[in-house]
Amino acid sequence: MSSRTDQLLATGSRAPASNASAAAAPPAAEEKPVLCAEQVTLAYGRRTVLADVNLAIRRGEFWALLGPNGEGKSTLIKALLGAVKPVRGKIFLRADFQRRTRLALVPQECEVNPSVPTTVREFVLGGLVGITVDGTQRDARLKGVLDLMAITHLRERSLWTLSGGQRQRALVARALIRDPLLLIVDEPTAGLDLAAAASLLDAITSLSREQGITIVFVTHDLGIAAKHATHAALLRGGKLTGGPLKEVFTPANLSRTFGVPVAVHHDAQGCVHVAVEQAQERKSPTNPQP
Amino acid sequence: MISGFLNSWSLFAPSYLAALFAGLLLSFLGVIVVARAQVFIAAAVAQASLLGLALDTLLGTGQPAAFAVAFSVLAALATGTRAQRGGTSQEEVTAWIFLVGASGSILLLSKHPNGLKFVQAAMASSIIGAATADVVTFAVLAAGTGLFVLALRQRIVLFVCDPVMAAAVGMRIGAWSLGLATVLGLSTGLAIRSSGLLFTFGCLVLPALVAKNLCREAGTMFFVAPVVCAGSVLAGLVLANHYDFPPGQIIVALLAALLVCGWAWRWFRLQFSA
Repeated sequence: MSSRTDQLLATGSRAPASNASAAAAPPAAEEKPVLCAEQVTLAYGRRTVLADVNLAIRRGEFWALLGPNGEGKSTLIKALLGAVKPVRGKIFLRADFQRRTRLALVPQECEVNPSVPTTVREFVLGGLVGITVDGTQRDARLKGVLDLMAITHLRERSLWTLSGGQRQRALVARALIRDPLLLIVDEPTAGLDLAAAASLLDAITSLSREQGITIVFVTHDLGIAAKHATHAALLRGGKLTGGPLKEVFTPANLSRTFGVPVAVHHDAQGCVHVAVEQAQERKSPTNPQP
Repeated sequence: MISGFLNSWSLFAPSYLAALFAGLLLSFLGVIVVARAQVFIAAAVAQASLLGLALDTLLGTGQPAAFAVAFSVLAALATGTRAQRGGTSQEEVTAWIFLVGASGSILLLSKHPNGLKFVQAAMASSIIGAATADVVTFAVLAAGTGLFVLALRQRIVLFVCDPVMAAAVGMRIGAWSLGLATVLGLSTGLAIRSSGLLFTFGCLVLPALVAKNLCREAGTMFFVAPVVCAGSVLAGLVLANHYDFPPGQIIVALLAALLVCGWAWRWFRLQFSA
């Protein structure tokens, strides 16, 4: 089973998007992708959301999935997670990810029924489902992720009495308690104030850079993608254009995706800057990607 | 009061035990129903079961359990189907089943001799008259469900509260939904056939709602709800025996009173913690 999957993954990595990805990350490119979509079509009933998507994501990459509202970003990650089945094509996880013990999700918002009582402790421990750990390891992991997300003092608090930013940190903690190698993040900064959003993004970015965790980050914010991502996938009109950030972030691609003129600059340090151009004015450039 | 109840034990032991085990079974499942915000679905499944009983009576097949279980399982599966965007919602299906079950059971038996009396009796609930087979069935189902729920508590909590995350960590949510709907339909159908609609629906939702207000964590509800239900069933049986009241109604009334206490406890706790 594993060898067959690996073989299929190798085939999948020859897809156009994957070639681009391989070119941008030489050390990781020799590895098989941790996650691969092959000619995937997703639909709700008769309405096709995405068609013939090819994607190969390798270890340590930080992918930003970008696109306007309703273009299928959340649907794509649900499919990557197995919650939505493709009507055509296949999605593969690398053999060592098959049991999903090293895969985690940070959803856009807490989808728990708000009338169900739960504490931060119980909520975060829910992330350990499917993983066998003894009581000592469980407590150590819990303490570690609560410390990392700076919510240790909220451990026994009801999840429903937390602020939006604190609850988002609890969502990240629930994902991190799985000690993931692949972390899928669905617009976690939606609804947060600037300070809380920046703090959460820095925490997620440091996980990618310092611990080599592969991140798939859904956003509609070009600035976040330009600052944090190594790769990008643009979704528009049921199609996906994916690859290394510098190859995908072109004025033509971004303008087509977002329907407005977008200027892209590469500075001397190789940072990408994007700015949305409007009729007579140009907005301030977004933060550069170091 | 207690001695009177104990004296009646030899006469009503199967009924008492069937009520106790059916209550335990339903309270375990009720936690899942309440956590998934599916109280209305539970009502629809119970009504569908009643429709099955009515059809059995009309046809005179003599298989009330089979009809009740079949209709409630079908209803549970139908209400468990995932809604399509812009399409038929789960509430629509649930409402349709509830209304068809409620009206259909009356219409089917409106011309049947003793038909309406049968429907009224089934809706009003009577837990007296259970047989030894009912006791064994409910004991086995309650023990099996209890062990399953307690062993897989963390998985069940994640599944019922956050199915997207559950799918992300490898749980087969389609299979879980199907399995839980089947068990809910089976248990509801058997309980309706044995004890009637009021007792079944009351034991399904009220202990879980009481537990929800008493507990700070969803996982704890799986311990508290059965304790609340068992206590209420025993207390209700004692009171019913002493005051010569219908036991099903007394038990449901006790559980409803406990829910008011649960609301008060929750309010005080929130005030205190604030």
